[in-house]
Amino acid sequence: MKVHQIQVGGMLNFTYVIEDEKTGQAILLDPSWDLDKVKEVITRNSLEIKYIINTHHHFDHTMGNETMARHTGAKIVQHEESELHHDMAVKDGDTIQFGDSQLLVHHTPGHSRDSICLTGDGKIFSGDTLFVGNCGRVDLPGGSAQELYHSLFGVLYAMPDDLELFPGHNYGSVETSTLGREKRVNPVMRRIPEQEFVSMMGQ
Amino acid sequence: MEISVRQMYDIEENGHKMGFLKKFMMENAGAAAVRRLCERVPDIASKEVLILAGMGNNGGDGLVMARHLAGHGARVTVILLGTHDRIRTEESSWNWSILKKMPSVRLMEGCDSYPRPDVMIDAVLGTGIAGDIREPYASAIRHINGTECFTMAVDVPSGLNPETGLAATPSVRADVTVTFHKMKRGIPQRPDLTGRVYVEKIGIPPEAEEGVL
Repeated sequence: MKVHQIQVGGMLNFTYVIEDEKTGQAILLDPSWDLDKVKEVITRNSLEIKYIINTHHHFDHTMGNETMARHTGAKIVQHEESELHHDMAVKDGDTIQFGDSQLLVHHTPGHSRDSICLTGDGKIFSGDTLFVGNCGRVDLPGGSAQELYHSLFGVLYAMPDDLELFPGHNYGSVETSTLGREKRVNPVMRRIPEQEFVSMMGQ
Repeated sequence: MEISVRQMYDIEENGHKMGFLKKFMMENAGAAAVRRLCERVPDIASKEVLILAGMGNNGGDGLVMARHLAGHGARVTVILLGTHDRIRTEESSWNWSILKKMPSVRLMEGCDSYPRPDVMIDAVLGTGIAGDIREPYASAIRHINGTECFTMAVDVPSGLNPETGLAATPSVRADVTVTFHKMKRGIPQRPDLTGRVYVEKIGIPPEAEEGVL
């Protein structure tokens, strides 16, 4: 599985093209701005986009969906709690197959109700659940510090340290990290009681 | 001497008409605020500074501060509370366009995560506020108040009406406030929100006050 990380727009989003190298099938994750850049990656690598997946429904992760669906013919995949248009709904524990590769869906609410993380081939695509050095806001509609606490410590913390982390925004000092590094140095991954976490997040 | 918000507005307009353009006032305001900040926060070069900037000239003062602070070696992040095409004044847009050419300053238009800085600059809302605080300003103000770090308000703590001293919900609680040219009459009424207040000259000719004061 090869990852093309593309920084787009003024909110420092990352769009990802995730390639199954053997077959050329690929996933397009979170298309929003700068679609020409994204199309160029797809064309240059002769990729066939099988699915457009969104880590959650916020506009800065989804506003390129329709354009890219028309451009590629791919189906749009979102968590079942998303209220936006999608062709296929997924839930926790589902797998998404493309070529010989697959991604496992983890429901990780907190930043939004329909937030998901995807893992596969030693990688995690964490959306706005976990960034390098930080985590997503919880004060937007549908956000919840309690839910984020359980997503971070109940779901992500149990995953292997050597997972390579691909976040939803370029908010850290570096573009990618590992889950183990974030567990060690990211202030939001310090093991603290839930109530302390909630008050740290300002709720 | 305390003046009204209207008087301050007229003095700025007069100065502008004399040829001391508002972009120079903004430059001096941002520079003066950074001088005070460096006085209050030792070793600014080792600090992470987060500037929350609104879409008007108060935000523009914050954008000037970002450039000066980068010059001092601080690690600066600016969160603009909107998209750059919605910046409301020519002076602020001009400062944004300079920052766009500076990789030393991290610029965000809106945000999905609030950084945890060492120093926070409130350049969200200035003297022009009226009525309730709307999103995304309310969230930004709540974030400023919920973050334990040194906080400087530019001109006036966001949410505080500098004419009446009445505070909206929410309003920023700052450690220090740097206001410009002369004290506005509502500011000294709320030391609980302003912290220590500095009044800085920003180069407006005294002649600009003629017929106003």
